[in-house]
Amino acid sequence: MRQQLRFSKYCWFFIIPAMLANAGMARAQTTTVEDRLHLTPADLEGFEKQAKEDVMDFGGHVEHIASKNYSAFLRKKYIANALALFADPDENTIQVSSIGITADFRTESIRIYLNNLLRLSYATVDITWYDYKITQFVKGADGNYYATATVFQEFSAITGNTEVKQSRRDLVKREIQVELIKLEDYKGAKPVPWWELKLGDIKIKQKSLSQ
Amino acid sequence: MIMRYCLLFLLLCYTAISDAQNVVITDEQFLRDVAHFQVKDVAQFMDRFNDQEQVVFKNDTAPDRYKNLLGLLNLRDTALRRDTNTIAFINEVFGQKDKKQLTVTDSDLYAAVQCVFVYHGKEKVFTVWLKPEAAENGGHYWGLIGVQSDLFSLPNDPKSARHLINPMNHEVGFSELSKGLTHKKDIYEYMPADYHPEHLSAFLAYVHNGDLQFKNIRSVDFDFLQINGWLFTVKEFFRVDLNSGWLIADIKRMNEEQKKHFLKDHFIE
Repeated sequence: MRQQLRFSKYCWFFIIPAMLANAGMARAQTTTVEDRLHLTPADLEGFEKQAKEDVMDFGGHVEHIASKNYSAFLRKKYIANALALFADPDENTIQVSSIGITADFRTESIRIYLNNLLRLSYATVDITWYDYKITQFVKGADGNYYATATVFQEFSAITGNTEVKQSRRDLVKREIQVELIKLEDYKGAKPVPWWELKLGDIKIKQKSLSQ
Repeated sequence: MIMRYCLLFLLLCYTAISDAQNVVITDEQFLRDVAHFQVKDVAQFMDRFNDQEQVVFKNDTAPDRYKNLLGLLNLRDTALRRDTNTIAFINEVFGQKDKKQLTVTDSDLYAAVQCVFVYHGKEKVFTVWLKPEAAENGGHYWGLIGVQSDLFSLPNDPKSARHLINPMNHEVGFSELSKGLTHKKDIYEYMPADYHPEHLSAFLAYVHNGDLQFKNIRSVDFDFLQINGWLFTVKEFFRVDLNSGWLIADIKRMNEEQKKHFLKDHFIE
């Protein structure tokens, strides 16, 4: 009996550290999950670079979609690639200005805008990039991070058929919302959080350079 | 000292305007310069105002803080250039020892968004006011805090109303109340003299019920109240000009009391 008591008395020396170790492991596991969500300045810088690539890709896709030099099949492929860059191409909108309209812009969903580009059919399109910048990411009330990428480009195009040709030369500024969205995937019963970078709404400003 | 600044100011105006007038559109380098000098977004406006980003002007070898501040003004606006408040404001910001840093999450930053709605088949412009609000998770969002439109304005002096509920009308079961509620256009005349309609609630109800149908956003301005004694408005001027993009369009000298009145006039009434 005394021996049993002695065991139970001394067993705490083993149990307590074991419990503490378990608790420590649990804490470490929690920290790991939080670590995955915590974004360091270096992480955000990496996302800024990715955003730049996505924006450049989008510009390239627009160029291909609008050009008549490519087959309809290929241009539709570019539409699919461009749509994949956006968080929700049906909800994300683009502000479109028209020649001669300076105050009121119409707003279209990204999907409609890209499909309209397909119908517009420029004979030749030339896009020259002049400048690119992205703002710092700011945390939103929903826990996601938001930034705006601005690109400055010269857009030259020849529209119309071979008989009636019209040339357009515009200075275009695109302001693109960039969203760093917190997503959760389930691996077994535990949620695994991760971040995904997507493009959002776009504002376009155009100034004609045609003489 | 003041003369030096005025001279510099005029010189900068001359440079900017002569650049704009001598635009050779085919000159690729000029378009590159426009892209470089243009204040491309509000964040860049703040960076340049805060001296976190500097541009080096032509013929300079190093960035000049004073010129950078002048470059944030809409220099095409002659009235703004000639306004004594303009130079006073720039001098004050330039001379600040503890530089006030503007951020997009400042609680005294206000956005005025001109929205076009369709009301009973006709277009109506509403100014919707927003300001950054802090969330519990440390994030931020733009909160809708006010709206301005003549739709919610009361008829002039409703006290001189031809319609009212007479003081003994309660004896006949408020018969005149039924008339008031039937004659929709005169309904405001039945209100007490100190009645001030709350525009935002009315606006939300109209939008919610579908009486106001949103068409588009016409423009966005930002009012900065962060600098002590001043209010300045930033708008976008998109043009092929070195002095373009998000620039200061208006500067008002405003003490704290006047700022309170400004906010009250815009958001409460």
